[in-house]
Amino acid sequence: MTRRQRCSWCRPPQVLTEVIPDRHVLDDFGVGVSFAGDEVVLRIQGEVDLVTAPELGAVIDAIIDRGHRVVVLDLADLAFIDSQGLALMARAARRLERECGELGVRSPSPLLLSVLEITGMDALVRTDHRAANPEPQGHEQSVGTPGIPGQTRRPESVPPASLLVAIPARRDLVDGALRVVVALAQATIERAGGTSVSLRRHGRLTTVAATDETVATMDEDQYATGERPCVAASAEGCRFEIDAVADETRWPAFAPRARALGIHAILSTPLFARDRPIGALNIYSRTVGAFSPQDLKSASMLAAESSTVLADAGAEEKELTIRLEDALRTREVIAQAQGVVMARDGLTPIMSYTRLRTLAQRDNSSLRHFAEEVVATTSHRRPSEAAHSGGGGADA
Amino acid sequence: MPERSGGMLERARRDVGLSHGELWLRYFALGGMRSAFEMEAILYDALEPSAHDHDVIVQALNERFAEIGGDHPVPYSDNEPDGATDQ
Repeated sequence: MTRRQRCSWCRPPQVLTEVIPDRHVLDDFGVGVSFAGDEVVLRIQGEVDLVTAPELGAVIDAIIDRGHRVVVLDLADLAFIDSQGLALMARAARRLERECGELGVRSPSPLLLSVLEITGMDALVRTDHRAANPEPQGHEQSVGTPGIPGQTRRPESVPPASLLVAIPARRDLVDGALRVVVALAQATIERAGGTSVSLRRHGRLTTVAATDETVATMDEDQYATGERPCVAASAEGCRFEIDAVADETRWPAFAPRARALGIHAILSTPLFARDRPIGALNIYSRTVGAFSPQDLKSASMLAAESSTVLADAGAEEKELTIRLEDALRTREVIAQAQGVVMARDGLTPIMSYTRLRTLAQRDNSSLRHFAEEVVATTSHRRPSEAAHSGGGGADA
Repeated sequence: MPERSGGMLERARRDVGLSHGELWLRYFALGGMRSAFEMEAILYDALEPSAHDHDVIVQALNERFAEIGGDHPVPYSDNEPDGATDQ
């Protein structure tokens, strides 16, 4: 197979960082993803707890969704794992088992090993005690998974060395999934030098995932001018390919800057949500005419994956709307109950709120539930009666 | 005015596993009037809340604690952890 040529702006060290300045990053948790043949190794750094476990779970799910069946958790840098983390491991192991795959654990601490034994999870996960190796030697360097069906993707598309892309923990799970897509694009497109995903959010394009800071910075630079293939792909929903940046005339301001950064070929594939173009998967190369027909196909497939993630995000938006409506109903019923207590006891709004809150706690109820009881009881009584009762069975 | 929480509210938020957005939605549902940005500033002690704002945030946290099997461990502005006082 052809050796992968790395350009200067994505050279090793292979742990790459990305920048999304407007988002909060938890400094004490991160996941490094590496692809070594059929195996995906997640190097977990920091603490896996109630807060971070769902984020790690989203990354694992995204990887399994992509068809990977051998997932290894490298725990050499794990500082702490609680029951949420263990539950997550069990869930991932069961899912992989159902799909003829396997979850492996590398470099577990003696304590964690004991916990796995006590909980019976040692039967679900394969443990590997060797020292963590951040740079696998290629897809021959598997930890050994006899009996596991091979992947159907082209083996020649997998780079000889693993690709590591840091995935800092973020609140936004969609971005986490898109970062996995970016990592996969980087791993499967033979001459990709850098990869990013641009998305239109709040009316403007922004980079939500990138293999390195140069790509992310360059993306942001160019959004301002509105002149570049990914802007065009995002707006028009068509694929834009530049075989040779030197010959490019469509984007006169962008082309010289790209050349200065050593970029000679660009492939921007549109992403869709509800059939509308909302972003692009951008692959940059240092090689003129870098992209083969198979690369174009791979990029389209990965863009479709991203679009699926975004469609799911649309579903999440729907869910958010439902929750907001529910929050408004809660607010309304609490305000109504406040009115009842104000009228009953001649209190200020804040004093009536405090009274409701105190009574709800004494009644072991949520504030909403208690307020509903107050309002319901009041509405079934004559106004003169209601004004002298806190409602519900929890009246003080 | 309650004393600044010394990060207590933010620690409680992490303990119950709510994102800032989820906590804000609960705070809003319970009658909170601050924006999500302001609520976050309160959690980080960058903005001093009124006693009422403080108590609505605490109520949202304590209801979450109750949902996951706890009591009401975060104290209200009257410093009564069980909140059993009345006006």
